[in-house]
Amino acid sequence: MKAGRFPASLATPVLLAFAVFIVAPCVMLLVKGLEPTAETGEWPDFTNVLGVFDSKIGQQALNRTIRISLIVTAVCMLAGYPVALFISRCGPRWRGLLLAVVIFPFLISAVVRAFGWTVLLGDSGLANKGLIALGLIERPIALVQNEIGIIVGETHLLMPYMILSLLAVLQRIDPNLRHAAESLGASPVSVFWRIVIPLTLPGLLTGTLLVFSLAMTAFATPFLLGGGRTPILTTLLYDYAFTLFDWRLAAAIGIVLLILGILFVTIHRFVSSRGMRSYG
Amino acid sequence: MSDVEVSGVSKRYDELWAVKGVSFTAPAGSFTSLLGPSGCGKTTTLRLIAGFAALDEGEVRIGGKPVDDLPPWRRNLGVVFQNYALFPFMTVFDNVAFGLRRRKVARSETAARVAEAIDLVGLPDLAQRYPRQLSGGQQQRVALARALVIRPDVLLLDEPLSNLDAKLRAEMRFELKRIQRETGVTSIFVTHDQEEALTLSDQIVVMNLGTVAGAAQPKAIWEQPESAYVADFLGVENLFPGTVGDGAATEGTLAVSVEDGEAVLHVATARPEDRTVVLGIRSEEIAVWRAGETGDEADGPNALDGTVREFTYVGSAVVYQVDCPALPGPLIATAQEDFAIGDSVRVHLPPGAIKLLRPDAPAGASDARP
Repeated sequence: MKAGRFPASLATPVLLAFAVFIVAPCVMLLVKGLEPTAETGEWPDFTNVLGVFDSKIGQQALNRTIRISLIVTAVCMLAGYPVALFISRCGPRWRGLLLAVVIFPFLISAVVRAFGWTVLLGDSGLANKGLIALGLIERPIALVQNEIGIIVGETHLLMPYMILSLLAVLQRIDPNLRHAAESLGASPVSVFWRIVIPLTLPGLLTGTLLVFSLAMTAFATPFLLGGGRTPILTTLLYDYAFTLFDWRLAAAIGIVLLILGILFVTIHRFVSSRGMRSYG
Repeated sequence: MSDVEVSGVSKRYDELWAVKGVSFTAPAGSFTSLLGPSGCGKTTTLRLIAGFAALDEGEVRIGGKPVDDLPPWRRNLGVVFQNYALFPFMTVFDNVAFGLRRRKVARSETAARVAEAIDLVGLPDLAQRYPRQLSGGQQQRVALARALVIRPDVLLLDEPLSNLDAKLRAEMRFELKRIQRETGVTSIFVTHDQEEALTLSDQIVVMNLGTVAGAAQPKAIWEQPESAYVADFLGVENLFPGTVGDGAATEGTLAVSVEDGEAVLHVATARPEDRTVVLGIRSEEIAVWRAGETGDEADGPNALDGTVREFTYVGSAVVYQVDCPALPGPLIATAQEDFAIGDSVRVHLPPGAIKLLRPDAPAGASDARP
């Protein structure tokens, strides 16, 4: 993007804040996380970071973080796409209302929502009672204090990001493109797969990037819905920092999360640049 | 090649009839234009033929078969849109091949037919480009190739030239004519440009407020428009309501008195059914003289005094606005001579050049609707 004659001074405050509040903590994270464990050791010492991969609990948390983030991303994509498609085809009045419904959860704190889910998904909650009433299960199954709870909570938390990303591109699609495809013999199913999906690819990519990175770094939702026995990287980090007061190990997990994030963004960018080469 | 019969077609959006009782027939292999101002229902009519919208009344037949129950993807129509509507993520080749692939045409035949279509529209060498790498004119050609490659029964064109600049538009007009002639495909062309309609069509259907105001061959519609509205839309600048008097004025002419004016004009035409008419005459048919330099005609009937109010220079001639006391409004006349504002002139309206028109809508009705 060209800055042109845009006064750089206007951007300075925020850029300065970014430098102080993002770059500085990252540096401190690296300093702390790579601190030598032994008195004699030298900086950088990768023992702690590698220790995360070595310890059973660290490895479990890492795997669980990746697994949950991928599942949440997939669910948001599969469930969010039809919603976005539906909203984009609605008249302006309904579209505004539905959009408000989609955005509404943003107004409620993640903590409140997590408690809400705890009630709904608990042993005597609506979900279990409903499933028993339908005869699908005989006794309550565990839906919270485990991965299911985290997945449900995070999906609810992050769905709007996916829907809004998709809506942004869906609403820009020229309806004549659909008509053109139809006139050329494409059935609605064919139009969807061959025209609508490719045209919404940029939105899908934005949505997955947002949802995955937010799912990976979410804390309150997995903390409250996952319970103590299903640690993910962020909750493990919290335990190390505030229960064990081992800031070095906590920083090491921070570094792992950072690597994971950078890795995902890199893969994402690679996929986008290949898939979107023709979009200009 | 198929003919298209549109009979009594209506389409309502909420309380508003976008199209009401539209009927016309486009003979097989012909080029028909739907001509009218924006909002007249011409694009809606095209969309109803294409099947993009469901009609509320009437019937569309293509090649004798009713198509109203067929979805667009089973109608075998080629559609070209004003904004081209090319698939942005596909190459020119893939855009053109899209329809053939949906029809499960064999790969080798697809390649051959796509090449042939790209050749027909004059775009060889660009098959592997993406739409954004092409100019507007080239994109329009691709859209045309994409619509024609499926060998459609009918080609529907929705203002395909409107987004092009003037020079390109004139060039594409010839191209369109050539391609239509070479393929012989029945074409229905929506436009608001009377010149486009006149130059391209075998038949012009003039539309107004969702209805057909007149339909005829270009020459006929130019020389004898059906109504004041059609005349107005086809560039008849001077339209005055009038009443036909009894008896003949002279041998073979009628005396028509102009409403809100003193002029009684002689018109060489057959007596119309209705006495209430609109007199129409094109600016270039009117003769203009400087007052005093009058010839034979200037003393006869249909010669009026006037004063030049305003003029515009259009290159080949000068268009004058002349105030004539005997007429209710200013007269638009074209002349080669130079007159200044305020000059006294004498104008002559040849009896043979005046058309008596059905007053279905007041002059200027073309902008009666948004």
